[in-house]
Amino acid sequence: MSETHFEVIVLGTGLTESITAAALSKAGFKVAHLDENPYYGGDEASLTLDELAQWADERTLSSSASEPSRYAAAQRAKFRSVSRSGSVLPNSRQYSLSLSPSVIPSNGPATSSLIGSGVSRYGGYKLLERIAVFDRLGKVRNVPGSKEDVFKSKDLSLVDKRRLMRFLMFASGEFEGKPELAGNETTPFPDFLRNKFSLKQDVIDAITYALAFCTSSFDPTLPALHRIRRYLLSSGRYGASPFLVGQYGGAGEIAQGFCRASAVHGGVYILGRKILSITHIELSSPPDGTEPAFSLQLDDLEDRLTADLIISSPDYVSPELRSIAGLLPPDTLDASQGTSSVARCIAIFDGPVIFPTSPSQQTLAGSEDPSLTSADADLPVESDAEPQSKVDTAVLVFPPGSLPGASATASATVLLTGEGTMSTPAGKCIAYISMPIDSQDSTPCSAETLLKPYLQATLSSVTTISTPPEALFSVFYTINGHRELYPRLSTADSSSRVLVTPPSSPLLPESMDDAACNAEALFRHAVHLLRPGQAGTVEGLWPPLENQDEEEDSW
Amino acid sequence: MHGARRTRQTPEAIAARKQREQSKLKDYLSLTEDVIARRKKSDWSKDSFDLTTRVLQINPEFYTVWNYRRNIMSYGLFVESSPESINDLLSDDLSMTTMALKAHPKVYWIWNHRRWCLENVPDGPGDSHDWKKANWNRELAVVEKMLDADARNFHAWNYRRYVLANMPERRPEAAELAYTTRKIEANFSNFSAWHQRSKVYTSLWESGQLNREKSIRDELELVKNAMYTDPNDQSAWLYHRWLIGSGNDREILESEITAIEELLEEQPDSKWCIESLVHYKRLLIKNHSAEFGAEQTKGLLSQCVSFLLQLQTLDPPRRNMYQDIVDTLSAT
Amino acid sequence: MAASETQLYVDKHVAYIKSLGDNKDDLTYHMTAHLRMNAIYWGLTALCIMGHKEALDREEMIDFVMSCWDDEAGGFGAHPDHDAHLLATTSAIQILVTHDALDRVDKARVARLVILSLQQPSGVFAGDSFGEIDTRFSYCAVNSLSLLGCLSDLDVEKTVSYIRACRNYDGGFGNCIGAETHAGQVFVCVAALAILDRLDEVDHETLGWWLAERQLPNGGLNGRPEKLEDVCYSFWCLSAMSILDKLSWIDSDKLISFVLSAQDSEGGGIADRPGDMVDVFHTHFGIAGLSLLGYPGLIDLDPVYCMPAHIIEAMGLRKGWKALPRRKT
Repeated sequence: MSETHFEVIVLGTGLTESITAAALSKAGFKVAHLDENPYYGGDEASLTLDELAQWADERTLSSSASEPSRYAAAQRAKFRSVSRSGSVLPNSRQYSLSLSPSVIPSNGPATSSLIGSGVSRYGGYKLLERIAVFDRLGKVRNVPGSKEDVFKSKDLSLVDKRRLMRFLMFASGEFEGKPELAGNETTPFPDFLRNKFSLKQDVIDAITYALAFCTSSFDPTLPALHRIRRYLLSSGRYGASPFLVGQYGGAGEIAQGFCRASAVHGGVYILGRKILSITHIELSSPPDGTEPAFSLQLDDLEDRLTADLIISSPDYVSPELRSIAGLLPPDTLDASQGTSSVARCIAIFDGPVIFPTSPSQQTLAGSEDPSLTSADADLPVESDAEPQSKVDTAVLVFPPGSLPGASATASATVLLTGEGTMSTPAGKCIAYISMPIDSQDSTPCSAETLLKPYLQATLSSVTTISTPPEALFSVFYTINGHRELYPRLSTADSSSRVLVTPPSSPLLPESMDDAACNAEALFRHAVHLLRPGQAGTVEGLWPPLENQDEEEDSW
Repeated sequence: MHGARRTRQTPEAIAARKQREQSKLKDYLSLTEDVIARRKKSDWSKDSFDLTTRVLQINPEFYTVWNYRRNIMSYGLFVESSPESINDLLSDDLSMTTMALKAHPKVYWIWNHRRWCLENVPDGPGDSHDWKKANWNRELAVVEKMLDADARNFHAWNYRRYVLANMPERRPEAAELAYTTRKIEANFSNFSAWHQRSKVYTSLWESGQLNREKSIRDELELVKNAMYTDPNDQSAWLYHRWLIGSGNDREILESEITAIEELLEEQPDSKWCIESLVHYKRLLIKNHSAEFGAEQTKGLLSQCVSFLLQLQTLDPPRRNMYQDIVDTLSAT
Repeated sequence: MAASETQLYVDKHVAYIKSLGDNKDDLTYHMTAHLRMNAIYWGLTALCIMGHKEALDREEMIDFVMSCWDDEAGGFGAHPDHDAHLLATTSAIQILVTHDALDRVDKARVARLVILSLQQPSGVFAGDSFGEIDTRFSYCAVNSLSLLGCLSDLDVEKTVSYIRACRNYDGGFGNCIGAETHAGQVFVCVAALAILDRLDEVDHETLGWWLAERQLPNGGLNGRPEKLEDVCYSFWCLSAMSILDKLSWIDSDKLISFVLSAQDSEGGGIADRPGDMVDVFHTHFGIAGLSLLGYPGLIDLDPVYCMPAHIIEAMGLRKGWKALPRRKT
């Protein structure tokens, strides 16, 4: 076969596409992976500050004379209400700003893929240090997510401790079929917590928005419980926190890592080149399997590329192609989390981030006699715990209605990352704010109007920045939901040869796992289609890594 | 073979493994034969010392070789050595056993050898005690590492108590409360840490450094957080029982009974709540029935009996124990 | 056996114990030489309880024991050319008593070793001249002296006072003063006190309760609160419970099932818990526990000496312990 023919052409280097490409390359398929952007990661890229400013400008300013590509037009339809502060900060290249802020559950499809593929070796990961909730009194409170947290919490009464623990035990166990759940699967989650576990409002808020990451008080119980269980079962694998934060910008760095793994196994990469057309070649009927199905014309490249199968981010799919395209996995259109619109802010500010001292640093026992400890001040005796401490990675959650002048119906989450994540210059921190928005809203506000109060509340609560709490640099935008963008996209059937990757959930702890799950479905479909005889022999997504055979005892 | 999973090996696999091990086995046997022969000849040379290092790195349970090693030092290497080189030798042995403990945290002989080394470190240099202080102080860091790796390792806890009691510069005992607080807060199932706390408090009370009544009230608050957080955790209930002791303080006894009854309302099937209520109510009867009279005593007794009957259904493996206590109560 | 499908694979275990000496080309065999004397005692006692004492050659065993005699120290090592130690000495005496061959040793000399040289001013015993102390060694001394018929030479009050100082508020005992209660140390302290007729030092109800709480939902026993179950505690807890006459305080059916589930049904032997590698230590303590629980077909075990009961009885040393009645198959 010619050098320009590929079994699979993957369009877009977002995380789902990149994991799929890596899995296919490792399984021995001939793969070409294309992206119009000059960087990896697509909508999940991690950008330098200059790149982010340019990214924002390309989606704000009226386009230059040349005809925008299919992809550029799709991007403009997707990202709306984009605004940014005027001046770009120095040391632009020391920033790695994520278009898809996320935390990774320590046990889940994403970590399995990272480890199974060996991509985990390319990057660094840190444990998320804190999750806190902004309570209705305007105070930042740590969220007790484990037995130890509950034991040490000073905010909870003894009875509340018991009730919360009973819930945590319930949620981490086999709750399916338990009497508490029966008939309550779709009950709004806060109501379920109140009725079945007699929890107080502030505990309910913490569980609903900071443990289950619900976005509204109407989120149903069963999916919320499933999420909590997955997170609880992630605690303890690498430390007390259930979540990891990827260094160097998170999702974009990880997507690039999978691309690298794909390239190592022969994947061909073409970045920064416009895709002028994708043509579906009518096959002689019946197809004999030797003729390519698709032909791609790239800007400034004489030879056309041909492929048997296309796996593509929706943004590259032309209307003509859409008629034969199918979304995979098929049920993702109905999952409410992945389809709603989101308002987002990326802001840079002067660190450090300061949180109330976590239960793990507090000491509950007050029994040390002060006369004894003060007399021996040079001893390694724990001093009176500081009420606050610096953190490098944290999540701050605003339940609906917690912030005056902000949303009364949706929760906002803020991911805070500092220099320890290798994504900012020393001393600088990044806040990523995300909030789902109701696209049916008759009077849509700009992203900036919606999120500015959260940014200000965050900065004044967790930094030492004096008033007014202003960021050094900020970008605001909205991401239109899938439902609005791709209304007529059907789901893939077993013969679909244009597979459209669904967007991942915008929830912080869900997006990476979603990408890994979707990639596995895409991979299996591709194997089934291209090597029908072997479909049954592919055991998992990743072949075993070549292990460095260490002698069990070396003496 | 504590904790080693059973694997079914074919006779071929076993033969292959033995084949692979043949050279190791040969080396090990000739090495140990050599060491044993030198020991018989009372060879106290540096060569022999180095050979014991090799044996012990392979097999740290070979106590005879540890003994021989110490004898080589005592009767050979130390004899002609300056205090400085004795200190160096022992510091090296302490480092070597630190490595050995990481791989074999529960081998008695390694812990013993460390004690011997520590006890033989010379004071020096000169008239100071700096070597001794430095080595003993480092021990606490080593044992903390061991307890970080396994917070229940009783060898490490015993060794910790030994170091604290014998180090040349004693730490104030109250510092140990802070340490156990850390261990308990990391995981309050760690009964070893609660146990240590009970020993430290006892000593602080006996020496008059802490007020017993105040400590007990503070500790009851702490341990109740554990009882409410996880009523199934024995560690907290055992420590609570230590704090109550013989139950002479009627006020504490009664207020703790009330707190446990409140917990029982939240968790009506909690065996440990009920079991403890029986124990504390029996203490109330035993120590204070004269103060509140026959009627109330009768009431307490019948509560105990009905709790014990409930326990027989809740906790069937121990139902005969509960029945025996019922019988004891009926006999009184 | 109620509701349990498994049974004790006596033939397999006998074969397993017999095979232990056949692995001289195996590295593990040589790496465990420091435990050889104990291993022989465990294997022999397990065989006795299963009624297969003859499976290992008596003369060969006695010759091996005597080849471990350390004439300089006046005790037994674990292996020829290994240093004498109280642990190995006790096992050697137990083996010789079991084979009715105690006349092979100079009883008075051994007694002098354990009594005169190893008891510390505090009353506890050291394991050897290097001075490690442990209530295990107090038990070894008391047990050995009793078997040697030299108990009258012991300062009983001094010995008891150290054990008393190791008692904790939970009723149990640690391995030295200040140490946490541990089921193994409970066995050695309670059994030593039983031999010395000083069980008045034990809070029977509190310790019985602590021991009963060692049983976990899967039937196995752990050695300390909030720890995992392990077959070896079947003997250590059960020994103390039978001495205190509290064996009925746990569910013996569930414990029997647990021990049986830790057997290797193909290769023989018992492991610390189901699915793990077997060894002679857990094989012995598992079978010893089953004997105390009245498992059918086994010979009575004396929980105080951890030796066949008829031998201890014949020596007139039996104390007032109670095992569960022997079940019919």
